[in-house]
Amino acid sequence: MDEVKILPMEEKKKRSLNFVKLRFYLLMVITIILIFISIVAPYMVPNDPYATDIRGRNLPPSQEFLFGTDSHGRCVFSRVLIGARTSISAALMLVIITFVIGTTIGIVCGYYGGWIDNLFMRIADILLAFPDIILGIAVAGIIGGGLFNAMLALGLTGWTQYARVARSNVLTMKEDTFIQAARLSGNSDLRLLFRHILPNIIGVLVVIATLQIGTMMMGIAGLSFLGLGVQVPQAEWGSMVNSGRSYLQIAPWISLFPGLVMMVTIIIFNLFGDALRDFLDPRINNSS
Amino acid sequence: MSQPILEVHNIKKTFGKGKYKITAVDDVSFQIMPGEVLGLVGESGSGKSTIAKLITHLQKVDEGNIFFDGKDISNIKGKACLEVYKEMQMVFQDPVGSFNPRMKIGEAIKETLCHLCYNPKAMSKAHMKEAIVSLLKQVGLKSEYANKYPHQLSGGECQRAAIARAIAVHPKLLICDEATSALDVSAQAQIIELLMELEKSLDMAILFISHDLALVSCICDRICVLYKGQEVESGETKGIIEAPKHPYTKKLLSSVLQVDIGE
Repeated sequence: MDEVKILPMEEKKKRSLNFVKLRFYLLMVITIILIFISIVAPYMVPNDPYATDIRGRNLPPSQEFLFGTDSHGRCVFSRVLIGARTSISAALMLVIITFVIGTTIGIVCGYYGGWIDNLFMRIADILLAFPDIILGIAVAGIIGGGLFNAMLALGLTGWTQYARVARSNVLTMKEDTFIQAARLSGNSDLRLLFRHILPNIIGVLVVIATLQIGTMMMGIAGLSFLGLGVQVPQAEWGSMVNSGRSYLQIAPWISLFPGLVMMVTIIIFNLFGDALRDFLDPRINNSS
Repeated sequence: MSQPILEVHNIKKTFGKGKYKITAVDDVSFQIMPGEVLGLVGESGSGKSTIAKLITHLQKVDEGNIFFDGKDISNIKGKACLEVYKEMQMVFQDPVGSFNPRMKIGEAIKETLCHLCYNPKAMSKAHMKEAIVSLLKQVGLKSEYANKYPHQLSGGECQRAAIARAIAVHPKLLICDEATSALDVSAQAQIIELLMELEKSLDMAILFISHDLALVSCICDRICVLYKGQEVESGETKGIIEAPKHPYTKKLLSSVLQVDIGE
């Protein structure tokens, strides 16, 4: 007769721990590969992504054109690859910039309080009252379209997330004993903020940042889809989906593949964010 | 007669506004002589810890003056605070919580050394390490503790490390805010022993804040009893223990837990 094996606590912990770690490392590798592909894309495209060929328009996927061709006869596969560069690098850059600015504002607001805190938090409240896309349309209306302006429009509200989380974390942490002890050790305010407080709250913020990559990518693609972001003929997933819109019935691959790739990319980044959160959570993974 | 190292003059501190106003410290005065151990006793909520924070400038005094080594430090800011911290240090109630969880013990002690003791640029790494190790040795910790994180240490060990950090500056005054309350009885006794040893060898004054009158009466030269933010009685330890005047002191004395063991 089989004996039911009961795993000791330690063993159980070890197993779940391994899963969390494994998932994190796996997704990290996939994410790195993705970013790597976006960087080397110009050197691995099979066809010139900008070469038009009026006779070879709307061709279905074949060996030569893996994802088919669009209404101007351009290779969709090559354009998706090149577009990865625009989409991923723009989203990454946007996240990094908003992360740095938002975090700095947040911890300064939380630590000093007073009028600085009031000023920035009210600005954040106002910005959060606008839907991203509406604000993007407004910005594009005022200063024109283009990738940079689209990023500006998204960045305008993007920093508020980090600022709010950083601020609330600093508020609870600044009364901690070790902060008082650090002050007695002669640390300056600046050192206190960036050497003692920041390392203790950065985990949460990094997780938000990773999850924001997908959101930002979607935002940029959304604005491009509306014609307010990246302008044609430059390849970008959102604008590519848009350009295939009128051929959906005769050549669905023009919109389908950029959309599919975008979906997969965003899912990977979001999964990576989730895995990172679990990885950093001391309750789930307390070996780090 | 020599000058007191710390003189607290009618200090007041209130929290909140209007209906919710709470007077945490109300008109308290005391002084500590160099090399003396003064016990500050009171139940929780009596304002002991607030007084410690006021003296160390972690909170601002509303009224009154604090003189440290003859200088008025009640309203100093920035750089002047650092000068005070070079001669006055504090040990906190929560041993593990008083260290940055992401910093090794050695790094934490190094911070004090860099900011308050030496010019870090003029000091070699080996020299700095030596200084940290000798401080750890002084409080009875092995040198490898410098490379450990606070959560890897027990409460007692952590409190030793906190004391090492505090005495790095050779303070003239050490404030112990419930420094032993979070420890078990045997660790408590060891920490008290260590503090008394250091008090003699470093010739520093100690302001020992505690709720435990029995403990305070064992180690302090003088005692100051607080009740609801006010000072109700102060004087030589012997006088207070043998002949308490204020009813609250009497109550505190009689509330010492006694266990009769039948034979």
